[in-house]
Amino acid sequence: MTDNDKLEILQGRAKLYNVVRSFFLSTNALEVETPQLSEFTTTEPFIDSFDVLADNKRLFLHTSPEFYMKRLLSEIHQDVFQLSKVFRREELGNLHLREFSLLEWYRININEQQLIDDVISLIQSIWQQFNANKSPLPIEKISYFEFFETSFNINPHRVTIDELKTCAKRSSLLSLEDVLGDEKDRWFDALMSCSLDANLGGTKSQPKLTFLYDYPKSQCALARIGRDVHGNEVAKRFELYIAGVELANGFYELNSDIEQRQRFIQENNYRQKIDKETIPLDEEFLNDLAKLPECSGVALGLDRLLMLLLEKDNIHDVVSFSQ
Amino acid sequence: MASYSTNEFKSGLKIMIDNDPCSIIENEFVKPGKGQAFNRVKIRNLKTGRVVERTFKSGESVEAADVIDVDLQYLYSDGEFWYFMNTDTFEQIGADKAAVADSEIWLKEQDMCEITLWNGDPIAVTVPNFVNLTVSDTDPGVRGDTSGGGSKPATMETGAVVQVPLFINIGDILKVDTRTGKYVGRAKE
Repeated sequence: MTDNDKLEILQGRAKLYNVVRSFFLSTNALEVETPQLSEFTTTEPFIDSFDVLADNKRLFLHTSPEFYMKRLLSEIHQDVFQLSKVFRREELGNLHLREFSLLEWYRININEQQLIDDVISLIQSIWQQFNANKSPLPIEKISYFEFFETSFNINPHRVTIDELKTCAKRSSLLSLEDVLGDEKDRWFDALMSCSLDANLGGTKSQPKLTFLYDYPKSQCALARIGRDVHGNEVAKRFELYIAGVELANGFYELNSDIEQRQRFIQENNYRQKIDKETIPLDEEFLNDLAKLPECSGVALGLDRLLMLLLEKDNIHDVVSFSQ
Repeated sequence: MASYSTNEFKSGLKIMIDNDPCSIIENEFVKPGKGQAFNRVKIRNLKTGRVVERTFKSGESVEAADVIDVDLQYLYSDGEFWYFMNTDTFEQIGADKAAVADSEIWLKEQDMCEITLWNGDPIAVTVPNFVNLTVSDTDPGVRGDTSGGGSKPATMETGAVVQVPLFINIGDILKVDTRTGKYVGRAKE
């Protein structure tokens, strides 16, 4: 990397953060900061946390500011956003850093579809700031159901595990047969991961904003369960893809502590099944979740967005020092 | 049995796929949503040269392929095998037609070649990018024409047929690019 490249990256990032902050200032969201170290962390089976020892106490570096931000929301009942570094013990790759920058925000009294519109406003205003001569990015909204129907000719809400495996075989994922087991979601993940660059969010030269929404109920995480237009029970969750890259993940937030507790326990059970450590439940979070106002929230990867804006193919090319 | 975990994957790594030795061309780490992570790799089958894509669950281990490349000198062929020699140990090794494949027409005695060995057996022969070969047959040269305006076929001493400029004669030594099969120029002795 030459000095000029480095300067361009640093200036690009500074500009991005300025645009983000003015967007939220003009839409009345409060910038907040929450702790990065916590006694608790996510129970998500495929997100692994870093931990540190502090005075014989084990603390986790946060993998997202979600728990603390929701606890704030339950106290102050107003739109909030945060720019923070988050940490995940993951393999490195062209799209993955162990320490990366996340923009997370919550809006009171809106559902996930209204939040999608908010995400669109933000990205378009950023896009315009970086590409004054270009027209706004095209927008596409497609349900998880439609996506699997058109890409693989299967109905994700009704498909059987054998049908999924047959479908995966057609997509040359044969070697996974022995290792993925009978968990449907793992096969959805596999199919999703091999169709990414081909189908979602256009191409690098012609990017568009593609929102996938209404996820299978089993992938609800911290989102509410609702019904889609066909009457299927779905997770009220969405993901945003641009040029084959996953950029954001949003939820119509669940505010039932009882249901959330069950999900944490289920995830811990799954962790045990795949020989991973179980995570202690964050009782304070669960307690505050019962007081969470109606809201939707989303997390957006800033490094990946910067890749798109600066036309870089590798996430390590948009950080000040690559790990 | 040696093996590699997906987090050791990188281009050039040799692994076993469907009982064949393969070389990783491209490795991409993908993680859809909050789900299971995968490594999507492009691999070249070292026996057939074919390139395929495969997906592995991250963390999975894959058997390593005992594959090495060695520089050996080409000696001769008896029609069934092509014999190469290690110029340090004088040890000789015979590669069959499947291993030699398309390299056959470029093999000139005493040229150094790269031989890919799998468990000690030759599975591929890579000739140098440029070889100097003598023209064994071509139509008579056109005197004075050095402008390169036209071309004609010429058969080289190894059997390769190369398009050459009209002024080339039998007995000329030519430099040829083996990757494209194209004439580069006349070679000095």
